[in-house]
Amino acid sequence: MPPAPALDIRGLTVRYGDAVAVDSLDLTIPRGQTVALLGPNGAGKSTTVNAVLGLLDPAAGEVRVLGRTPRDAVRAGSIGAMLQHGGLPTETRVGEVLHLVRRSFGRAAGEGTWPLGDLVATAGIDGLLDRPVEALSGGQRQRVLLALALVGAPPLLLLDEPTSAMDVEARRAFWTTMRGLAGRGHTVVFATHHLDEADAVADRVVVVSWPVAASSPTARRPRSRPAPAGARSPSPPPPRGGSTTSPGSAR
Amino acid sequence: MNPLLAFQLRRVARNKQFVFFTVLLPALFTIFLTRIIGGQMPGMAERQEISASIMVSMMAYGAIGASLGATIRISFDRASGWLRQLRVTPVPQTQVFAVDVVVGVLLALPSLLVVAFVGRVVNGVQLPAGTWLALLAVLWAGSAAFVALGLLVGLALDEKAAGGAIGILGVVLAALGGLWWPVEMLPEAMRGLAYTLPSYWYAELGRGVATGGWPAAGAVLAMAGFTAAFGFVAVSVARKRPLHAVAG
Repeated sequence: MPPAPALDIRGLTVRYGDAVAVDSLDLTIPRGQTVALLGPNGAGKSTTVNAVLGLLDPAAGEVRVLGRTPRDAVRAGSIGAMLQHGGLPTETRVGEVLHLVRRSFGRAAGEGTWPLGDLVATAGIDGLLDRPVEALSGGQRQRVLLALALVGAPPLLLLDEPTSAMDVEARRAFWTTMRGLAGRGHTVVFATHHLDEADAVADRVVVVSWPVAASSPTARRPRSRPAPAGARSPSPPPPRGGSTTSPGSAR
Repeated sequence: MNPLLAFQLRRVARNKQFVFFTVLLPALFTIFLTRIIGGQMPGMAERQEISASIMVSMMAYGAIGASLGATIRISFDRASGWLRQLRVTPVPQTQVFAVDVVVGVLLALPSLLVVAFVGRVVNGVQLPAGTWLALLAVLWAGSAAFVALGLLVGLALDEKAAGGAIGILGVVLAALGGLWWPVEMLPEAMRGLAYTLPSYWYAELGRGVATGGWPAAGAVLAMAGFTAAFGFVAVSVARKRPLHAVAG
């Protein structure tokens, strides 16, 4: 039996009240791939990420992370996540927060976490360990949140718009880091609305754009070439009730 | 020690406001109130009695502030996104909740100890050793009601509302519950209100012990009832609105 894929999503449907945020999404990501979830704001990227983390209960469908339920995978230390609405605690220093999260991963996985010196260099938080959280700039905060996602050396990294608060320079450094991680065998899944970013970094681009198909066949093959412009550009969606012939549509 | 518990305790200890309002202020009140009111008493016996009573009130006041202040912080941690961040680490959610309960319970103790120390050393309150211990024990146990209340408020309200609520709650519980002045000084109608407040019964719990007896059964029952009710509502709110929910 082959090992369970890093991420296996089947028929995922998420509703907020009457609104459908994600409609029967199917997506399988083998271990070691770097995958971009590309789509305009409101396309359902964050919803998908949150469902994979078990932060919300889907109306239908199933999510398996390395063969486990989302909650079990998080508890087992299999996922490191950078959230859009994640944050840092007040009255702490960066190093203390890192230490706390690192210990929780160490216990769960019963194995090595990321070596601290290496992590500091990788996440670009050199000189920040002793800094009070309140004294961080937006970009620094973002990098600390990245370090928190990495600190447990989890097999699956889920990053929701990780570069949104970064300048061009930081962005470039960030993606160099991500490529390095993928090289070490981590599975990296990130949400973005930048086509160039998705294209430059990912082995595979999955378009999340209601009601156009998510994970179109073109996007499914590794290192995909740009799909036809219509499928990728974040153009305003056609009116609801239009042709949603593809099985995996998300908004 | 559990790493999250150590982490949370260190955070609160760094909060100067918290230390000021829960330890320093009650200790200063104890001294000033005793000087002002105790000074008007004609005899030593009356002075002793009023000193002990003020000390118990201020122990209660400090412990209430500490229990509420420590637990209401869960609202701030939700607003900052920290609870959501913790949710995607292997730290179990039950532990996050349990640690905040323990922090609330532990932090009531410094207020109780410092005010008792000031009462003994500065104001000369004389109690038998066993009574001192019993007084600390019942007031520490009774603080559970305010830990539950603080969690309830912290879980139910958003950051700004919770921040305002703690100030209002502290004043209402202290002023109307007879901690800043005896309820006998309040008008008739407000005295009735005092009997509905947990702060009144909490101080009664301590006064019963400080006068050398057992805590009044009514006070024990009232405090148990408040603790159970606040705890029940807090858990129901937590079930409806998970710790990691950002808003709504």
